[in-house]
Amino acid sequence: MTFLGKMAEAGSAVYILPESQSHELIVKLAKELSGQSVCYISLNKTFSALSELFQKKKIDISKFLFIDTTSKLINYVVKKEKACQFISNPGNTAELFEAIDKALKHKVSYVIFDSLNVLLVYIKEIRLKEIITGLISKGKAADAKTVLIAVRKENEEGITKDISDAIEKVIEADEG
Amino acid sequence: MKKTIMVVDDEEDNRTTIKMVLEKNGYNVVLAINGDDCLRKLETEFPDLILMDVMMPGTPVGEVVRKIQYTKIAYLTVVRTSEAEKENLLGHANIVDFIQKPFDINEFLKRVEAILK
Repeated sequence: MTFLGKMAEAGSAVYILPESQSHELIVKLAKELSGQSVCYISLNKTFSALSELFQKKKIDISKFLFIDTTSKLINYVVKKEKACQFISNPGNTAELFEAIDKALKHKVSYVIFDSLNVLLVYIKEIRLKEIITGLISKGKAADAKTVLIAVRKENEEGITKDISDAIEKVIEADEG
Repeated sequence: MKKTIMVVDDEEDNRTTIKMVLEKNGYNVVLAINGDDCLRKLETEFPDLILMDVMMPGTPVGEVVRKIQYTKIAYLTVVRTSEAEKENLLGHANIVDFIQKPFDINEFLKRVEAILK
């Protein structure tokens, strides 16, 4: 079954990826979302890297709206892009939520949050649930499904446990 | 004379592992837990190279790097960038490499050696 098939009844889910295949599985997910209206929040890949990758894989991202939290961290100059909002760093949740509000003014079917692991580098675990609940509420209010990507590492169980009340489903990626 | 490398990473496991690998290969290692700690330590330490994680709490790395003028910096990062961004970054004076995590130890050592040649 496709990821979106597994997501059919759920409004929100954590999508757990094995670390060794996370890159390939994110591309696979993006292929399923090709051509759809998506708000893609990236905490670990720049907009430039994502659009380069998705275009190379022939994924239609014409209806994707990106929120890039890393370009301003590392680049000296960040060029304005119509399809992307750049925020200062992944830990700036005020800026992040402002950008999400702006993106969700457009009709969006899916909000992809990539990834919870990186968010935890910047925020205390105690705030994780509050942030995720806020994110899912915003998605719901905009009639969008929210997918939270988590890479399976030592702390993965903790992430899922901490936010289990806030999410409807946990989907483990099929390895192979 | 032994070269000195400053390892800036907020994750203790990473700092410890990289320190162990570098020391075993003949380098002096200075550790810093984030960008602010790095800037503080640079007042008294004069490393030949800074290995800087990109994703750390505290002052954003971009701001920290702008304050470091004369020391070579190699980014250690899980952030994926485009080829154009990498080229652009490497065009700046003291940023000399962009090492993607997770990395192979032997490859990592070769790159460090090449930078310090």
